[in-house]
Amino acid sequence: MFHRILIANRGEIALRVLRACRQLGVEAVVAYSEADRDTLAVQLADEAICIGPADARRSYLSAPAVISAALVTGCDAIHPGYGFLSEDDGFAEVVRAHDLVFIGPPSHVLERFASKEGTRRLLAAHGLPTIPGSDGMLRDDAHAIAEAERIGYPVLIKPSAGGGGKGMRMVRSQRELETAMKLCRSEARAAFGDDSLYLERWLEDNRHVEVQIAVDRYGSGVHLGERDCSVQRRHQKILEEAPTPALSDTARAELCEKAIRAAVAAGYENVGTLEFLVDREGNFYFIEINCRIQVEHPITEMRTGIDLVATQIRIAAGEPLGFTQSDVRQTGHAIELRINAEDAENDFRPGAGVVERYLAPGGPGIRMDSHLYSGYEVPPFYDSLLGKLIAWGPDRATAIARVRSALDELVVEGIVTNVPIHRALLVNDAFLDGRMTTNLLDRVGSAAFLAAAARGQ
Amino acid sequence: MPDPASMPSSELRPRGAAEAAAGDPAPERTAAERVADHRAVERLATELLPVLIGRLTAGGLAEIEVREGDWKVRLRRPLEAVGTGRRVTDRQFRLPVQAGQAHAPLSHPAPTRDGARQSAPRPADPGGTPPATSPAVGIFRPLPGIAGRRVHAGDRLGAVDVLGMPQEVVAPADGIVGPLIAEAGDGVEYGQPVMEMRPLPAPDEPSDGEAA
Repeated sequence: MFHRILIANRGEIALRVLRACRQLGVEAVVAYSEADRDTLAVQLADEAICIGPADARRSYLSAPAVISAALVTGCDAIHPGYGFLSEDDGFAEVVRAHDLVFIGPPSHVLERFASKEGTRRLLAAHGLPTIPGSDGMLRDDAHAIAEAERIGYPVLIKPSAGGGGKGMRMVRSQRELETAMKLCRSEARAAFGDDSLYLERWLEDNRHVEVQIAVDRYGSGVHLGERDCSVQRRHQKILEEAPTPALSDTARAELCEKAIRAAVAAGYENVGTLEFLVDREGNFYFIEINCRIQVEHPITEMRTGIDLVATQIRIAAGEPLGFTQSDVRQTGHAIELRINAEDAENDFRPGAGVVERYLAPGGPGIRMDSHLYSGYEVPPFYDSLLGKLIAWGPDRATAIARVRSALDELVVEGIVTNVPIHRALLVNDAFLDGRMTTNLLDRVGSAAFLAAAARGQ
Repeated sequence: MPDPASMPSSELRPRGAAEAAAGDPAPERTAAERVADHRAVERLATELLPVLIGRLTAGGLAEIEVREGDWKVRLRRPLEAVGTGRRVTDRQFRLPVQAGQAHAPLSHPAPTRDGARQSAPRPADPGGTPPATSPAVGIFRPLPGIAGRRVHAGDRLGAVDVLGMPQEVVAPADGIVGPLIAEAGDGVEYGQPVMEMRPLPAPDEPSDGEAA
């Protein structure tokens, strides 16, 4: 096991990794930007080191700054969290060249899964169904048009790199395609420094279901069940639950088993997530793999009792998984609400400022992963995630009841949050009946959701 | 010119030939192949290597490998000694900062040469000169004999090595370099004060002989 880990991230995930380090008996050093000096992880760390200014390109995204910080503080491993450098195979390689361990898949594994389009083909070869899509990357507009004709509109334009909905557009005609290609290219270039795009057939009314896996260095792997992340706003997840209400127990088991078998066969290592779209008929299609710990990992931890971050660290340290599929027990139902500093009533504009009062909810089955405290100033430079409210119950109805009452207990004063949209969701019939699809919120409009909830109360 | 020891070393060989080279007897190559090899090596040396060295340096990377046709080039920079292993910190559990201080530079009370300790948050002393701070996270390398020297704003006082790449520490204002706050070889963080600065003596006072 490692002696000292550098946490090269911020916010709630820096705190989550710090807690895993504590439980493993490993010292934790937090690397932070000037704007994050008052964050909770910095205060709780065994040591904290300022690696640069607020601008992430010169701090959290700067490979030399992060590695230098690890060397200066005597760390033997780096945990990248999610986002920033977490899936950068070049970074992982440089970390290795400095005799440090990258906590995640080794660089050659990251490299193998770096291209979404290449990954799709690789995992299709190992038995995962994929959505019909373009043959390779789009060379130019003419190629895109020809491929879209072949696949059939509507199609989804997707960037090969990155995630979070950037550079992604659904188009219904050639004219829309031509306009959107330019936008997607420039968005993808700005966000990921790579503007290669590909096409996929657009599935109307699909659900987003993903499978959590963990594979050790010795090729033994397990799945830890699936998560349903269909509640999205403009391709951003806002509420996740497990198990998915969209599939039968048999179909869920089949999905998870296929996912872990393909991932092991394709040489994946460490914790990861295979994302699928599920259509109205319950057919599932592999879309991409996320080679990192995910924001919504706690709902899986609540259902399995397995600490995914600790597992990730242990695997990176070369330990065998230590359990098999039959040891993994999934019980009950878990829901996570992403609490963001966003103005739900004002087109989800991100907010920042001082949290005047913060009170986390509690009670049976409740977990709050947040870096907030009363008096903390949310800096305007980074993503708007303030924390995650997670509830577990023996069944879905109990989990919903618990998360609803926990949301009533949560106090975040001084800054605007997206709590109203969660309140609206938790009384919405489509959600309560388990009928949410990835485009529902955008189609109906968040304003209509909020208004409907207000009328109902 | 950088210290030759810190210059990147490179290794350069055709991929298939690597194994053969290890077991020596030179592989049989035709004259045409040898000419092609020469051309390839020349192109690598004159065109590719300078670019690679540039990237290695600019990116602060320790190692870079590029494949080009049958050839592979790997550049590796000797790792900088990791310094004294000592880092000046004052980290304690500090709950909410006072308003207005949230983004003020961290101050590190650190032993000075005469053993005195700096007062914690540096007061906005109107007459005081701000200390020189570290531009990056890395190993502190002050210029030898810099303390006591009279300098102008922007003058180089030393460097902080980031993976072997020096980042300049510069004088924040005209003045005389005071005692070093961090010692040579210390690990320092971004924005950390590393050298005290004292104001210049009034023009009518006799200078202390350090004047340039």
